[in-house]
Amino acid sequence: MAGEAVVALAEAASEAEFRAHLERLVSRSDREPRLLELLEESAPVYRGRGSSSVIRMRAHLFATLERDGMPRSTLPFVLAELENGREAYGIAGAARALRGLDDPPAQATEYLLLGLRNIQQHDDAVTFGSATLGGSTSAVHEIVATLTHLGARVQPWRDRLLQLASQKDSPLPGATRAQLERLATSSEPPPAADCCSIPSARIAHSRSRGALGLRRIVASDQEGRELRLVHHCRGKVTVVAFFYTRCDNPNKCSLTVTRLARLQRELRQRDWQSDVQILGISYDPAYDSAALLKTYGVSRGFTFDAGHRFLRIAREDWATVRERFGLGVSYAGSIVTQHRVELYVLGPDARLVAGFARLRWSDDEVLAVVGQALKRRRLPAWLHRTLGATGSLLLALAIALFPKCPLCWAAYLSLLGIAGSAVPYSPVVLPLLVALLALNLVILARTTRGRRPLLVLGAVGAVGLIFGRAIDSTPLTYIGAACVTGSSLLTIASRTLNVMPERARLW
Amino acid sequence: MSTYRDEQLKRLDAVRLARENAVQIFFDSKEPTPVRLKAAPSSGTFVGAAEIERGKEIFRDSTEDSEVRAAALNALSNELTRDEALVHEVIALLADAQAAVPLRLMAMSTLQASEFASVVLPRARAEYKRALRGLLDDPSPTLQQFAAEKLAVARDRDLQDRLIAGLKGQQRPLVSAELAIQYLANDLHAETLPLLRDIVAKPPSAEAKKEALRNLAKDPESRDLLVACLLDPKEEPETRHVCLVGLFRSDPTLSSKLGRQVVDDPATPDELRAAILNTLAHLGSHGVASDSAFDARVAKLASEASSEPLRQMANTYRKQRS
Repeated sequence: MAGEAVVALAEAASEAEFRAHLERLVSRSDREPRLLELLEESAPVYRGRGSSSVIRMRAHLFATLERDGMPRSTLPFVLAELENGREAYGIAGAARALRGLDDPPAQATEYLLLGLRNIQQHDDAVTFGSATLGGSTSAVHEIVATLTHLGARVQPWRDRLLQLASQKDSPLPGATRAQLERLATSSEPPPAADCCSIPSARIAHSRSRGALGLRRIVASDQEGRELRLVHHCRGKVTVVAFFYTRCDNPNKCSLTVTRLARLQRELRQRDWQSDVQILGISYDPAYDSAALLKTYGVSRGFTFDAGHRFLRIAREDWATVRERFGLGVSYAGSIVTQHRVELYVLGPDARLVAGFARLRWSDDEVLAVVGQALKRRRLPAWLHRTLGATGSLLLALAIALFPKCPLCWAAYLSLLGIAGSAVPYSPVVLPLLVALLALNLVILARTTRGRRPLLVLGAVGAVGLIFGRAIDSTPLTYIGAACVTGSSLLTIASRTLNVMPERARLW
Repeated sequence: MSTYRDEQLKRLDAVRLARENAVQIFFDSKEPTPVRLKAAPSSGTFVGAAEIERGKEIFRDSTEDSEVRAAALNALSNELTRDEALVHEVIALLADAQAAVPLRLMAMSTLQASEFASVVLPRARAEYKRALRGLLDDPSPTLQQFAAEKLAVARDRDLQDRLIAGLKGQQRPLVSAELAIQYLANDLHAETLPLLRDIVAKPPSAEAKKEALRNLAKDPESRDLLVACLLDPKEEPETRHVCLVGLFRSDPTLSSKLGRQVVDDPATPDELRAAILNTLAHLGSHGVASDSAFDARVAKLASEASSEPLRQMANTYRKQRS
């Protein structure tokens, strides 16, 4: 819209400023994308705030969707709050938001009933802090109000509604049960067709995130063993989910891990267990020790083995992982204050294939993606790992075999059946050798992180080769070539076995 | 055997008759109030439709003495687990600042008791939470503290905001600083960590500092702060011990190692050395290799220390280690 001023919300804005910002968005042409930015769990405005503040802010945002209109693109956020939330504020706001949809889908009833189940034992009085958003209400009240708003669309759920209405020792107030019964026994016919479907949990991901840049990421697992993440993921299809042991919402992390265990059983039934692995990565790597990760997984039925592990990412790498996966998580200091349910599928080349977030993923959908990724895989896992590490070896061999003197040239020419030719020795050869050695050292430095002795061996070999050439010492040249080749061979061996030395502490 | 049974039956009969008599006295409005109140405990909880109805009449009768009404409510505690309308009445009474204090206190305790067994209290949960929030500013300190405790356990956001504002000096504090920190500790996700570090740096009281350090144990980023306090000889022994125990949560190996270091320091007060040896004995020396030299020094303490508690704890440590 012409003349719209730039609207900025400071990261440290107060809750009142946040509410005022939402008011300013109402008349803007870019309201929808700005709302979506604010709904992202990792939005900067939530950083550093406690979870109570975050919940209130998001609940208020949801409530404004009723008053100002709810863009359909915000539906996954609203439904996720009903499906997974445990706070009266959030659920009340999400229930209200659905009343802002022009043509709410009937399937929203399912999510409203899930919200009711989540909150019915600990409902609370909530107020949205704005005169235009009404006075004190409660989550149960708002859910029932929205069910009433849906009207005949709820008819396919009449049996569930009647059950809730008549349940002995129900935690729902009498007036609520009476309303549910009225809804269930209404004679109004449901609409002929539902306008829209509920979005899937699958999210769009940027193709440019491809290999995720995880090459340098180091993690340690539930046994305290360290590994390089990308190397562990190469060669197999990897399912990655995020959680943390201090999560107090049983609908999120605890359920996520339980469902990962269920996915494991599905993999075994399909005989995919050696081609697919599951990783659980902690949002809280500083706190979630190896012992905690192991206990958390075991108690929820997860089976650990060489492929299936729970990981904590090294301190210096965690920001990279968050950014590369685009994780939906916020922190106040070291404490997770909010996060979404999220799961990703990586292909055998460690590239992102699919992501599922906010709404609970469907096991069938995830397994379908895994199956497609398996079909596209052409090489076995061990070969993936080995090929990925051979760049250095090929270069090392080339250096070792590089002709370093006229005699070498004569030997090669003799081998090729061109014996007897005299070949003048070019002055370019030595600088070229030095350049190749330097390139090899760079590759070694990148691939031997944490294995410095191998880099030292490569460096000694390089020095030996150059000095051997300079003082024309054949033994020194051969020793240098052996060291250069040996350092590359040992690097490949350690990477194939994914062995890393102990480090004092990842955090 | 039949003699024993007959005696028991006679006793039960006597109790039943005593109870019926007590109920009759309590229900009789012509009896003096002290007599009725004396009979109330023997009447137990009301049973049967007639007793329950009469009990409700007394509870609702605003002309009755407030202590008699409170006693009636107490005897209706079973009804509170199943009568939704009664629950709403009692919550309204709790929230009514004009009602007599004995009655409100009884409303408080019966609602608290029914939380465990009532199937109808969840139906009024929203109303109950609203009433509790209102009690935070109640003139009765008992009701105020009751409400604060309940809301703290429920991780109520409004209470957290007020506690934090009080700790920051932005509002009159609801409770003491150390109690506020304890209440906030119910919720890991409250935004208190920077505040707790500020309190450690500028503590309003020694107790508040201890509570703040105790709760910073959950924050891996505060590990260095806990280590510094543990090793600071100018800190109070109890505060240093709180840091050691806190470190056990996040880094048992480091905690064990530092604990031994502090015990070995002859400048450390004996009471702290004893406390640390007790902690090491019971929480273990995780991942720290057995140190025969340290064990020998502890053995020496067990026999030569001038402090009796230190000798005892040294012996306890040795027993646990052997």
